[in-house]
Amino acid sequence: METQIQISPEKIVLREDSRYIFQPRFVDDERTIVKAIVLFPDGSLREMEAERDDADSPLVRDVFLQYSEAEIEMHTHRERCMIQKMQAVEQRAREDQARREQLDKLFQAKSEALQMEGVKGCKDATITRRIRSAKTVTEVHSLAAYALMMGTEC
Amino acid sequence: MRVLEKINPEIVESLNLFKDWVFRPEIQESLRGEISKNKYELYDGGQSEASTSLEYLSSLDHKRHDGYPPELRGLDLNYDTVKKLDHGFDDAFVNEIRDINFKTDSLLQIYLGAKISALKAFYPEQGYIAWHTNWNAPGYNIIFTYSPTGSGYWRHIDPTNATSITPTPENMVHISDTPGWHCKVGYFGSQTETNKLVWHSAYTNEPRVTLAYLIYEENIWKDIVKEIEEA
Ligand SMILES: [Fe+2]
Repeated sequence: METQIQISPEKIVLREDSRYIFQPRFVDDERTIVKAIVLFPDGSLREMEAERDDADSPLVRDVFLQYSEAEIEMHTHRERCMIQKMQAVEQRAREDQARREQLDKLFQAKSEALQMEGVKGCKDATITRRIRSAKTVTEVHSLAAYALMMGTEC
Repeated sequence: MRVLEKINPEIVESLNLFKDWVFRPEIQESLRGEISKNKYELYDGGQSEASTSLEYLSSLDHKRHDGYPPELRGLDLNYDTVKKLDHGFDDAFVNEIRDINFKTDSLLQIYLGAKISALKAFYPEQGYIAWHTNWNAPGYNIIFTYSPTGSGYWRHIDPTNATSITPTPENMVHISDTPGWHCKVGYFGSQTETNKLVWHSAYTNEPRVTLAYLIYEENIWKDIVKEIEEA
């Protein structure tokens, strides 16, 4: 006969060979794969997953012994929110980095163009001013090329 | 340090974008909520203006000064600073700060050709930034300040001929704010450039906004100054 250990009167029912399960949640939209953190007798915690329909999986058995479908849904929702937040943070960090690099390149281009002899000597201050306030590297290069082509006439 | 009272409309338009955002009622609510949470010893002791006094300046350990203001009643809304300082703002508000930084810098920083956006400060009434040097980030500065009626001021110690890092009180220059936007331009030196080292501070009786940009190249800086002067 199978012995059952009652841990929490309402929810957690463990078999002798059961493991404690934490944060069980569905991985996919179809709710076919279950993932959870499992506490082993040596005290180690491991994240494990299994197909929900796998009748031989001790993980699936323990998850559904210890948690209701609603509780698993709650953990699923919580994790998805967390993942979305993390993705948004990572996306912002990527955009910030790209923006910084773009600005650095633009200022580098301006600085180099304004230090070129042919540009520095340009008598038309509007050209150097336009280089200073240019919005893109292409604009900087085009204006610098114009200044060089015009030589001292510019 | 030179004061330019007229600024060309193109620059003012970009400055107003940031200022108008800062003065939006819901933004003010968030900013003032954050400011009220912080501890300001001078303000709490009714001594806000002490931060810009010569007594305060003399009392500082000049050799151990790190370049940053020892005390500030206000907020630096530069996105990088907000991220670093871990303010109590929620994610949505940090995103708003990010957006307005990007919008402002896309116009202003690029137009000026400035490498660094050094400061985007909001000061409430009795707001201040105590004496400091910024000697940790030497360079050519363009500092734009907005004051509704001009009831605030900037102070600096003119470093011409200075041979030590210790500020000379007799060389203090007091510059009153003017209604609307004005601009201050100058080079802030490093610890070793004693004759270019600018001790400075500011105080305001009314809400005040300051945007500062740091330019490393003299020729770019001179061109901006010339353009603003031509306004
Ligand atoms: Fe400063």
